[in-house]
Amino acid sequence: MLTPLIAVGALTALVAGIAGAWSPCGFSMVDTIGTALGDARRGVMIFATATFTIGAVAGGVATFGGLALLGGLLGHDAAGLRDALAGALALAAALADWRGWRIAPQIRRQVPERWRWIMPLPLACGLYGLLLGLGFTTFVLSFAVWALAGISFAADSAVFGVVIGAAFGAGRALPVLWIAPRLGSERGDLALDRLALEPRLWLGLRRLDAIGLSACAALLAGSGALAAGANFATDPSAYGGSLTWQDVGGRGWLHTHSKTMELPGRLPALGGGDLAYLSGQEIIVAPGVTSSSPRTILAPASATVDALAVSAHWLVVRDTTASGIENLYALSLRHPAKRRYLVGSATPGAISRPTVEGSTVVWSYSNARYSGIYAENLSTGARAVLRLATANVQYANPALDEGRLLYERTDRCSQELLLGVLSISTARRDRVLLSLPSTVLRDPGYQPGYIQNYNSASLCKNRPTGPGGTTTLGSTALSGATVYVSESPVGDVARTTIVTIGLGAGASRSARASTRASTAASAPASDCAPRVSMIEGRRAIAYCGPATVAIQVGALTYRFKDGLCDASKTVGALEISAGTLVRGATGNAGLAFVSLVIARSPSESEAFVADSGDRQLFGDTVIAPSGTLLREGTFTSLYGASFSGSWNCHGVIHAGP
Amino acid sequence: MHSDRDLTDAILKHSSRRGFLERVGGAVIALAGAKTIASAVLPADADAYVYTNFCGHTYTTGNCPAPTGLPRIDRNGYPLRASDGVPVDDLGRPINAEGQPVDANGHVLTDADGVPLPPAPRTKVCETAGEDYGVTLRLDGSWYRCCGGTVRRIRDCCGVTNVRINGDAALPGYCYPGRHVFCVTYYETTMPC
Repeated sequence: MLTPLIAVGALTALVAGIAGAWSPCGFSMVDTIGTALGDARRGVMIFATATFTIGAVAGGVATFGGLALLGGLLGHDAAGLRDALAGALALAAALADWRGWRIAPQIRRQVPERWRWIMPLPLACGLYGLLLGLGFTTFVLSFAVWALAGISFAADSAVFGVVIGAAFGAGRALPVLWIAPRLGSERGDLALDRLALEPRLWLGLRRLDAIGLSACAALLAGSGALAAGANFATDPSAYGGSLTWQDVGGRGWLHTHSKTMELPGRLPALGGGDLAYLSGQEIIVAPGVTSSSPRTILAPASATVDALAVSAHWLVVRDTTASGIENLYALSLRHPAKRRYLVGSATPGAISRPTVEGSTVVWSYSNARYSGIYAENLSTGARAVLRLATANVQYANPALDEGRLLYERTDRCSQELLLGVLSISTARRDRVLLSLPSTVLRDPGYQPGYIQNYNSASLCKNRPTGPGGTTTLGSTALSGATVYVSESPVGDVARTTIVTIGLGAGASRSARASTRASTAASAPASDCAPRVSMIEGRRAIAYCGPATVAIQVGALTYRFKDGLCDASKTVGALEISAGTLVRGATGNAGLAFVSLVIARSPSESEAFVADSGDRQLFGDTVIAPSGTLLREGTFTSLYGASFSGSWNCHGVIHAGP
Repeated sequence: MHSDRDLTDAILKHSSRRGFLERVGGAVIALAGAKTIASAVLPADADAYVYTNFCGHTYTTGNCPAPTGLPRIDRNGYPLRASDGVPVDDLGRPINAEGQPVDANGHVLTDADGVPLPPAPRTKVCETAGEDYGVTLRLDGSWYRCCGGTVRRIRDCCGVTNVRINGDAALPGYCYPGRHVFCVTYYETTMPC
């Protein structure tokens, strides 16, 4: 994925590489390749030019790609701090290059001259190129080289490092490619003379580098916020393949099939083909999601809007007054004066973020006496109770899509994400999509030093005593075959992320398969076999098993379950297939599926495909695994689409041929 | 029974023959074949009991299900966290007076948008146990014991039932006549002992 930072960084690196031609090594290379063998061996010279170029690019990739990988080993913690430091370094280097300050620290070394005499020219030039491409083995001709090294380390992106390195290597090779073949001719000799006698050209290149570094610094400052938002986001809202979310402490974002863009406001919501968000004291409703003529609705001046929902005809608003009274009401988009009050509470937080589809609005309401999910038909005013508990249970964070109800049910032992329909009578048949242990501190039901018995009612089957789970489920969204749920680390809601769960055909298996914690603990036996069927006229294989895969692409985490781990004795690799594969179907017929092959080095590991909802996350590409191979571990992409992820066979690995 | 025991004790304390009785009372009465009388008239050793699950609870009736494990309740029967007596809701989250979940410092917990997390039901441990198990239950009688330096009130959660929470036959315990103990709770007083 070519980001602005990568593009600007690559141009800066290219210029920094070219500026390297003004070094003793740079001149030596032009002369070595251009004159060492004379016209009689011109073919060899062309070959040497090619090996030099390859060597330079390889060296650049090794240095800057290696730094990026090294930075990645530090993990994603303190990414903002690292971006800030890299940005500061870029700015300082930009200032130094703009002013043409003497390079420091300088590396006063040259490539070994003897190679020119003892090796075939193409080999020597390949090695020369490698040394020059490495960047820090010989003279450094601009502060940009140092700055780009720092940015590569901080970027935590192998793609960034590789691209920067390749651009730097190409930059080092360009002057050689430009002048060396013409050396011996008048124009060639003149070009080399100009190079040697015109330091202003070098200083001009350094000023170009300064401009590039300044742009990098600006992008890093922006991407610091972006990265925070991309990794830490909440309040998903989905409709028709588009998704919006809210950066934690920042702005809203919109992701469609064609683009991802920051919105000029907060609290985005999608529904009925419309996009709504809060901009200052105005609620903007954009028909068609990206309409150029959005409607503006004034938010109440005496209250703070803190949640929105939108459908084709209704806008639902939750706000809180200065005195702490929370209200939920709906506005007709056809007749904005038509306002329907839904519910209020003197306890902030009692009313959930609303969800609306057509004229049906749904919300949860909880207090110390009961907790429930309610629906109201905004056209008729008819109200229904969808889920209700007067003890032990809290219902929260509902989301609607195509008449289906996604919601959370929490009790003292667990948090569950469930999918059902808009009827209380069918609640017992709701599907458990995700089950996590409760986060509360629990004692063992007895006091130390006393007989422990008859206290089974004090225990939880799904979790041990002690601090409990580390993740709290939050706001949700549902669209087609994709479920979105935000997950907050306990005690650190600023690091909330949005997790995606595919509703594959195999996802209807037992809740146990989707319970990450319990499966990890119990390692259930694999008592199933992949099932072949026809979906949309195509052959489909529904895999099953306890294996799970999670893939992180930008802001989103996609989780795959019902996975089969198959270890090949002959190949020594592990194949993981999770979800349902519909062969030849566009977008895998909307079903979730991922296929990976994990192998120990030096064999190559591969990610064949991953589909979630209607979206293909990536095609066939190479990944780098790490961790406790082969039964579980993590991986990152090496080329093409940038993603990372993890897999876990949960103790069940089939022996394949 | 409690008052009878106190009366007996008072008589013994004020009797000039107390020292004699204390020295030989148990043996003499036992020799007379009246061991039950001995146990009735002599003070019980406060530390002689075998407690199950928590201090003060004799016999083997199981704990009432409580949000955080041990069935510690407040004076009205609502759940408290056993370790520190902090009020908790039915999910086991510490809460403030408004029922909102709070952190260890008493600050209201919020979601990623800064909006307070929703409250949850907070119900009486004994009554809710009855709803869970299909029995109408309420707190009946109590017994007090010295636990950890303070007086602890053992409160039986009783109903018209012959079975207790752990499936065995239910005992009368401190329940009102005709009722049996289904599960047990306790309330921690501040009285030193």
